[in-house]
Amino acid sequence: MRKIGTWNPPDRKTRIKILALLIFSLAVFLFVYNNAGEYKTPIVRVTKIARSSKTVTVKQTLAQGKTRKISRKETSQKITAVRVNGSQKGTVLHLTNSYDATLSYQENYHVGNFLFVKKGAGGWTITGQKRDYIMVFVLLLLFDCLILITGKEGFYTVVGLAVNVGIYFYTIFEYTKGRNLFTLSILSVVVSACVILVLINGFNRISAVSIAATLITCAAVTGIAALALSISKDIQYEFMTFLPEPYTTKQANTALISEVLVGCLGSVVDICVTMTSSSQEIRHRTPSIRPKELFLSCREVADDIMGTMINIMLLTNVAAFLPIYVISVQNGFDIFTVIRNDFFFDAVRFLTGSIAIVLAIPISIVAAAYLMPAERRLSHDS
Amino acid sequence: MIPKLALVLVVLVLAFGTERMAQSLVTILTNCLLFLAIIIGIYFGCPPSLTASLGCFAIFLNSLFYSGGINEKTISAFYSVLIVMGITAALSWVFIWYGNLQGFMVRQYVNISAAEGYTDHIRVNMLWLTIAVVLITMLGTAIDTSVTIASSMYEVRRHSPDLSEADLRRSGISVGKDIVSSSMHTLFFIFFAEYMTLFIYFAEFSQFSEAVNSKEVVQQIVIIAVAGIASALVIPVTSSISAHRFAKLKPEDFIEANVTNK
Repeated sequence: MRKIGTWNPPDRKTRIKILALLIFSLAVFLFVYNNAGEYKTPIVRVTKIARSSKTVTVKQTLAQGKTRKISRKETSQKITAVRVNGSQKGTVLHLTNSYDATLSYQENYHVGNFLFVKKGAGGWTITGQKRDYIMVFVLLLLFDCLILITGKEGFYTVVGLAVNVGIYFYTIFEYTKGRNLFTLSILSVVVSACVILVLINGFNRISAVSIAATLITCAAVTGIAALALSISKDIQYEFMTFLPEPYTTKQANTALISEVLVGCLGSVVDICVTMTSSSQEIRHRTPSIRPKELFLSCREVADDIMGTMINIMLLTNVAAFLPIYVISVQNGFDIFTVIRNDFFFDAVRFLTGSIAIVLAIPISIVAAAYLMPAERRLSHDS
Repeated sequence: MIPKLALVLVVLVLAFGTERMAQSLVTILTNCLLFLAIIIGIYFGCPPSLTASLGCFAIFLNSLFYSGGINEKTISAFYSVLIVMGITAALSWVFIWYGNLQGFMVRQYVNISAAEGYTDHIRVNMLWLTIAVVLITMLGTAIDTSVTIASSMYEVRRHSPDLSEADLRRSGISVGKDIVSSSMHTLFFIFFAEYMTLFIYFAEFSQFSEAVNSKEVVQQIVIIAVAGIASALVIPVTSSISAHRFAKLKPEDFIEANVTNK
């Protein structure tokens, strides 16, 4: 536990750092917000919108031949926008857009949005919305919250996340150049595990042991997943969103196993470092403890965290299923077909992630027991 | 494949785990059933966004109170996560509404298009449904962080009854500092795995400028980033609420210590 002192207001040095952070974030955001000039595609900024709605009743034909009558509210927008890049910067354009109240596929534009436009035979049409500054804003907000709330640890977390994102996208990039996805995933997982542990924990024995335990656990889970895959009937990969076509079953299987490997890393690292630290702590307090008792004691620590970590695995993986499910069912598709096809991959990731969590506990306890140095003298501080 | 993996999971928990771990499997199963209830409810015509929100709330209550019991720690966590859920919902609404991050692009799911029987004139508001998705995504890490901090502060208060409220809050924040890295990395790696094929698709078929502006990519990045923001916000909110509530506890109010904390 940290030493708890009385709270002092942030000193001058900290205030300068906070100010520097905010100014830096603002600068990055404004740069991306105003980067329309970097784009070759014409971009406009919406200055005025006039909406008009009407309600119509339609008869729909759904899947499996069913029909139904439904009333829908359709809104059309008359958009006035000003060009913000290119030689015609400053010219005013008039565009139209319409959307359904459900907004499943269409978009409701607002004053201040930036839109990509294209000149066609009939005039200018909207081809998309510029969202890069929105993404940058949310990411900056996340990083700033982390640093402002948790200080130095938050900063290292941001650095760790940035590095891991970099590793991840480098992996994707190399894959498009033709390298094997699974090999790339293994490499990225090894490097990421080292990066995370060194950043949280520093260059020490606990980190080294945790890395070993993490990699063993990930290998075990991947092995289990591959085994289960090989003895199961063929998977319906048509529903794996965005799997680039054409693909072979081998490629698709590789993608699935790579996903399994990458998905469990974060939680496995968390558990391994917790278990290794706890094991070290317990041995420090009771240097003569027997291995079996050490195992049981460490397992007690794991009691609390296993349940919540599996819960995280469940909720984070299945949440994204809902929109596709709703749109499928509302269109009359059979519920079991939808679940079997679309939910399958979320379920695989949830289950393998949970298996990884459960396996990480004994593996890291054993690794800590055998790879950590022998009991330390009580006169040393841990 | 699913039943085999589920079997492996259950066998492993029973083999390596304690009784308490087996009990937490029951909580997970209940959450699965609640999620199934959302799905069945929507199937029978309940309004999707409302059902998803109610289901989300039920999952929240189950995850928090079923295994942890109703006590000072879990009640503090409850209020904290509730407040952060409210903030998250408001934040998500702003980003999704302004950025048009709801719904799908036609190419996202190759099997959805008007030609294949899907129409977009359905009785759901995708904006609110996407907000419900954000809430479910952030729920796991928010509860985990909140309970860890509240439990730790509870023990600190038990052993140091003279600590001021401000110092108690500082102790909570310092616990948050210890776990923030793990929470964030857990979230992000699940995110990496979930959308690996999405990023591969964009890397192969789109230019960078198209990808960072597309609804598909920005939608997912914003959802996971907002979940991360929620996890971070839970730290000061839980610390403040727990400090306020625990400062009033007298020594005889404390329950038996039968848990060890992270």
